[in-house]
Amino acid sequence: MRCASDRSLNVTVITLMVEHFKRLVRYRGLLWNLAVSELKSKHRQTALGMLWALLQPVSLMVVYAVVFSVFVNVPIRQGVPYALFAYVGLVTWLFFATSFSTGTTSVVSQMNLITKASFPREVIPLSKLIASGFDFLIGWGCFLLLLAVYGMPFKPMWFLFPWILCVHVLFTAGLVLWGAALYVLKRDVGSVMPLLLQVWMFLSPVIYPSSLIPEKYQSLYLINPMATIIESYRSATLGVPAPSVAAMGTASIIAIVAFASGYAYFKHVEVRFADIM
Amino acid sequence: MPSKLEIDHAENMIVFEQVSKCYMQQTKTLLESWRRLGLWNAQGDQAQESGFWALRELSFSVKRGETLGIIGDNGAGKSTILKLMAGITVPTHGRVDVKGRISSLIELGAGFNPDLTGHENIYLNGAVQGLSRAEIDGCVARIEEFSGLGSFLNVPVKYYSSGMYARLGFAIAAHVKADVIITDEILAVGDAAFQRQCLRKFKDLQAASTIIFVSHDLTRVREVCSRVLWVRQGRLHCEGDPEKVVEAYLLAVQQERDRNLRTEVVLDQEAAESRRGTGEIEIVEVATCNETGEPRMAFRSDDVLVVRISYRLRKPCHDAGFGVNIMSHDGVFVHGTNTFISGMVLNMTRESGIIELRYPSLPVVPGTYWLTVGVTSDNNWSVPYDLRERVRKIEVLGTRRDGGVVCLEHQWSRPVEC
Repeated sequence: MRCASDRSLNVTVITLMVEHFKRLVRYRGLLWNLAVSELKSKHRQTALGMLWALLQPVSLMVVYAVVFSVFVNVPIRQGVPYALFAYVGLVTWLFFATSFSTGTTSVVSQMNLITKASFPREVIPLSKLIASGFDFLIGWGCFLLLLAVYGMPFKPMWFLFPWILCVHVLFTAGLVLWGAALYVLKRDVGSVMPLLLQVWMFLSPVIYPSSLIPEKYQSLYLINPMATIIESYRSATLGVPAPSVAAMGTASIIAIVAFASGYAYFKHVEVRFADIM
Repeated sequence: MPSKLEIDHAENMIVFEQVSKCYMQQTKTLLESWRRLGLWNAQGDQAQESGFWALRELSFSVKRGETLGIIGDNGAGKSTILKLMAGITVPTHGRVDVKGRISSLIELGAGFNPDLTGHENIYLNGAVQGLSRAEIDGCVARIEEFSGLGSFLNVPVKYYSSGMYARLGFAIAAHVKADVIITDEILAVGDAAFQRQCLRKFKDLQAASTIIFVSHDLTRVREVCSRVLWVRQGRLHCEGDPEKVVEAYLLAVQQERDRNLRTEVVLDQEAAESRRGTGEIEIVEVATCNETGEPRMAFRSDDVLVVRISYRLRKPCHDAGFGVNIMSHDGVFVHGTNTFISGMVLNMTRESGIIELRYPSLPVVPGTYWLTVGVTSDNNWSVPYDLRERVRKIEVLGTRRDGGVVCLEHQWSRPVEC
């Protein structure tokens, strides 16, 4: 008896999620349109236009490369230039951090649209993800050029790339949905965000290798999915040793849980958005 | 527009079933939350009480092909009804069912991105309405033509005037194919020419879709709607034939003003009044009443108006007479009469009394009118006993939109072509 009702509950939750997803698919045009609009309005009236997508990670790379390979000597694996090493970390981190911070405030800043029209609300934060995805793509395109410049060969771990990309995007999307929903309910999230991202960045191997972390803290350190994700990207592209299968499995599970819970929570509170604003 | 019979058999496009909507008060800080938690424990469920009930147990349905008008004062719940229909918000209790594709135009151009051009915003706005790129491609040419913006379509909309903004908003709204179209003050945009163009388009839309029409322009409501709901303090006050509901609403608005008038607005009237006279006879009070003698301020053209004048005498008087003039709001002398003209001889000996003047109907165009009441001897109005100019104000309500002051009976013939 108990079991049957539990199952029917699960079935309704699943059909509900499927309905939500179908509706999202129907509004894919809006998702794309909002992302493109964001890009257009971001680059309109700038002198350099789309070039900024390139300049941002490259200039950061130059700064970090100078600071950490000239002033401070960060020990990284032989044969990998620090600039490339940091570049992978920065491109990966920037996609996550930009999506997370712009996505979180996105629903509130589109309040006019929310209170005047009806559409699946998640397209707003997810469009920010797509918008920073453009920069991410350009970042990787530039990476290929840098590889050629440094005369690095294409390393054999490329097969890791699609998988780690999925984990990266799912995890980011999950956090963006959580952030956006919570920010509507409590604006405190907006004040916490910059601090959180700052601390998180230093806890992730963006500008230093995770091998700097003492052995006994390694497993704890790799609970942070961003650590595993960044290191995995590095091994996929530069051939540094990959994180353990356990770490990669943990990151995958955390990413899936973050996305599923974020989406469910967002849809749960979504109906109240128009009232709260 | 479908005939009445067709409407009766048509399916319901929108059904509201016992719908209530409560807007909750948001707790802002942890401190406030704590305080509320304390209250909550002490006095039971307070959460519901701190909310604002925008709608209460509202039930109605809209059939395919209808144009439903919704009227009511500000804050009566009209916007909440629209938001519930559009799916922007959900009811606290009850059920809202809407069939087919809805196009909600609660505000024209609400989703425009100021940095994008008019052309780009057509695509963005279409996507907000749930249209695919191919669907928008299919109607973009008509939208651009209707908007009449020409080369301005390639300019970011932040440089648009408010009229251009509204033009583009309406053009998109009107060309998105939808089963139900929800509109709020949609016909009040742009210049006169564009408004005419909008109205023509609106009438085309009426033939194809079910339309919800919210407006404060009651004349327009009467003109375009097939049925009207009157919402009052979150409840359905009455519904039905546009003429009747709008009329009843207007009357209620005036009565509400009447009630306020007795207390506050009297001052305003006294400020407008000018009074002179020698004082042998004094006009103590002037009241405007309906047929049954209840004081009123609003009258319809076919209502009876009774002007009741209370007076007081200093000494007995045998040659006195009363007069009443009616002026329009902008000072046009509409009508004047007095007891001398009627050939009456008034023998007044008691200290005080009342005299009434009865108008069986008020065949004037709707508007505000002022009454001047006086008393004098021998029809000598240059030295009156008491003359109270603009002593009372009345509103004449009605559906006629004739110009001028007086409603002369008239009838047009059909054109005879030769």
